Amino acid sequence: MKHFTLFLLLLTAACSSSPHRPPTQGTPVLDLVKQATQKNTNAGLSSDAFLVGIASVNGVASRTPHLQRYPCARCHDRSPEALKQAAALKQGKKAAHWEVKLVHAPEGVLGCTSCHQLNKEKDVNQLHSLRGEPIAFDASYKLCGQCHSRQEKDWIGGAHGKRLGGWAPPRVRQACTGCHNPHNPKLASRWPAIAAATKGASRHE
Amino acid sequence: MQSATRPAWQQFVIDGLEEVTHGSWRYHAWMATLTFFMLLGSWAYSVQMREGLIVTGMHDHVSWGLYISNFTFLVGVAAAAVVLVMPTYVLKDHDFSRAVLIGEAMAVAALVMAISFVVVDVGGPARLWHMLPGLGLFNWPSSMLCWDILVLNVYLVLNFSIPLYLLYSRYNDRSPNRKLYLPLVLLSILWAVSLHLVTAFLYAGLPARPFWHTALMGPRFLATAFTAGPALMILVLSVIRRNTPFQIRDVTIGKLSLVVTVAAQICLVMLVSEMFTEFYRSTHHGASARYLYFGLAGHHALVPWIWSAIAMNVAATGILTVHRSRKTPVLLEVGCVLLFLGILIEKGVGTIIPGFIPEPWGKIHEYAPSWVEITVSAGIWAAGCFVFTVLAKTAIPIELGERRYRATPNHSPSAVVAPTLVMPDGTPVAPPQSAPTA
Amino acid sequence: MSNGLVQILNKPMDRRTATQTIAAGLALGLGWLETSCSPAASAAEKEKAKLDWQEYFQGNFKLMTEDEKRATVERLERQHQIRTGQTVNIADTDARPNVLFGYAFNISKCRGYMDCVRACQVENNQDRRSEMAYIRIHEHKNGQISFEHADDEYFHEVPAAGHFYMGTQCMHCQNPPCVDVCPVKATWMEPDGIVVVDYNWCIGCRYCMAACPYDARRFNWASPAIPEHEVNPNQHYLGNRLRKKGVVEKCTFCVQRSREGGQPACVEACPTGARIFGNLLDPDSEIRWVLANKKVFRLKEDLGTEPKFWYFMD
Repeated sequence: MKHFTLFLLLLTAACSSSPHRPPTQGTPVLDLVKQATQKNTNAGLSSDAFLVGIASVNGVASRTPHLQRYPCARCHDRSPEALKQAAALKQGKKAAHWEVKLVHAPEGVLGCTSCHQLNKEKDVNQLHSLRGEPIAFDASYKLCGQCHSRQEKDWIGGAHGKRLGGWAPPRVRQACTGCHNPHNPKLASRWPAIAAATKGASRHE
Repeated sequence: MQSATRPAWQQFVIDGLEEVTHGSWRYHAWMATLTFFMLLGSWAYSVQMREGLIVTGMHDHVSWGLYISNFTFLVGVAAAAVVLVMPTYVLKDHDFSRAVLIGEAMAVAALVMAISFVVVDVGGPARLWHMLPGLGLFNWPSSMLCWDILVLNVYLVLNFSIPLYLLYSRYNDRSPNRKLYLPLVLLSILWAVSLHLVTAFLYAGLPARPFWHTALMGPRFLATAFTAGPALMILVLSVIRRNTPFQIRDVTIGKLSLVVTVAAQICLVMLVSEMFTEFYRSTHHGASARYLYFGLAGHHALVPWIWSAIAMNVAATGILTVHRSRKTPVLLEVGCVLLFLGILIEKGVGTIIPGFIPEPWGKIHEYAPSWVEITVSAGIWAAGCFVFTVLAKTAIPIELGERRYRATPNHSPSAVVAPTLVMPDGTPVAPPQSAPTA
Repeated sequence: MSNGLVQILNKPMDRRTATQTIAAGLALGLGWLETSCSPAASAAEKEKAKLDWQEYFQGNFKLMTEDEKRATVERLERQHQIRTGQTVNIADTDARPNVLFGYAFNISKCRGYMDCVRACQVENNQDRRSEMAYIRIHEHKNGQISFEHADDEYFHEVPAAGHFYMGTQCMHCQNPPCVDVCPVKATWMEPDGIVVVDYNWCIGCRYCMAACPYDARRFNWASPAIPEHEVNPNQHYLGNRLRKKGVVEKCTFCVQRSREGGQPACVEACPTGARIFGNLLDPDSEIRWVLANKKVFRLKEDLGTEPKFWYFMD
């Protein structure tokens, strides 16, 4: 019996030495989180390599490079009425922004001028707040945040929206309009990406 | 018969080989049949090796199937050898002494099968060297599978070496040194119990599978082992005593049948306990049990199996509990067959498969073994029978005194019932005196 | 090998594997000797046999020195080149100091598009025949989080009215039951919290699959098949490098990306921003903001597995 115990002990010594077990294994995660209060350099890692080709302003992806008709002042150099008249002269052409159908907020709440500045005394290349303060197209969150303050708070914190590039700094957030069409902000229904000839189709013929 | 010019161990091996290769036409037919199934199983395994485990019925949701079910059951059969070993060597109950060698041979065969079932189940058998101490990494004591591998192999060595030593001593007309074998015997008894507890812990240690995560798992495994193992032993001993001059007395069978009866009764108690907790206030942890016994969401592949198993176990327990029917050889054998099959189903597919159904997110993906699994399993069972037959065939003549290193010229094997074993205190085992026990 | 559209990975291994049934490594060694001594065998065949031989006897990755790790991944790159003529880049980057990865999933935002599932397959070189997926998206009926009543095989336009969506994958538990049960230490938790598998060390016993309460692990029941042009060549030894049949694999938080500062493919692919990933030890990270400011929960917390995967709502 004594030999057996000795044998077991030896075996334990031989086998149970666990090499390179992370010291935190088994520790409640929130304990680790609570302890980590110091500024973290994230091992010097950087998202820069993942952000190539993504323009940003103050950590928010730029909107202006993606705008089809910008700067606005290229056309909006006169009053909207004058522009409409000019457009009407060009027979057979659709009016500018004909495709924009505003599906945002209940009927009658918002119009073009709720966000866009068409008064030629102001800078038409900028959006404007409810109080008429100019807001750059690249800072549209300030505009959206007027109503959607809860979403804005989550977006600033990191619970809403998308982060571009990697997880490591610098942090670049997708702008509101990067995901939501401001004229029709609801994301569309569609078919799942795992579609025909894959999981779905083979199981649901 | 023997040439005394060779060293004893050489002659021992030669005699063994001669014994194995000679026999009646029925013996040869039996071995040929087993060989056929072994070859068939090997071929099916080669298909599995080539294609991967995709040729089995297993999938990501039921990731263990027929192989591990068989493994679980066979570990129990192996552990049951202790039923014979303990009374013979420790309690000095002479009635068991003849059967003990058969029991140990059965344990060896069961272990060979159990280990084979694990080997055919792994995806990379060639990488099994990763488990070898020194060469590989053995995750002991953390992984219960490591415990199991350890206890299985040590138990195999014990159950092979103890009878080998006793037979070899007998072959040389020497008294075995009890200081040498008694500690091993004691160890093997301890080992048999821990062997099966460890196998139960393999499953019971997984909170991810509520069906297995029960303290009753270990005791229930032991109870089922001490039912199915000795039941199989009774059947094997009945065959042996009908077909060979190796006489097993009624009293041995009687005592064994008593063990089977009590164990079978305990099994039923445990079954009822298990079902009560699963069904009285059924939680979602009882989903596997609902699937097993009654079917779940239109899936009920295991329902007929488990109820057949329960019916067999209940009927057999009834037969064995009544003294008169238990003492009727035919009824006893029927009872043993029913118990063996009943527990094979209950403890194999009835325990392993429902652990995976429903899967951790509650979905039901059923399992049915493929022809490859069934063929490989049949091959392994044939290999187990083969191993057992070889061991029993060589052990019996030595035990009977027919084969000795220096044979007495006028030796007449059938005339003498030689003392089988030397008891721990050094006294030879006396011929039967006691009447069969109730 | 390279002319077929579908490259069945490690096809040349099959003959070897069959041999192993009889005499394991011995046969392999003899085969190598035969190949290397035979004057008829080409230099490439000899090299291939030699590298296969080295692969068979390679040690556990976790115990390797930096040099051994480097040599191992270079050998694997060479083996892939010999087999397919294609070049892959296998990294062996260690865990970064003072980094512990965590993940949060916004169940208000997920719309069940499964772009994540698709991106994961492509990024991680998963078997296309079985459509292996590390991520499961469960479609719950409003009013209950009940996985048994959820649909994880839906195929219709999403989001469906009256339903919400919840993804599950490896939770990278800080107290992982799968790691405890592995008999050969082929799976472990890295210091940055990622639970990984050494595919070359795994023996395929699938005990970890039985131990996982989250259905996170997948087994290669057959040789994985990926069209050659779809193989992602940017790989990590512990991540998306090509697997063989008979081994277990799982989500690694895209270790090949995350250790370089990148997002896992599922986070990148998600069009709704429902997936948030970052360093739990960085107080300024988004994941920390979510933990501090949102009402979060984890799945099966009562099992004590300490998942590093949280769910929250807007």
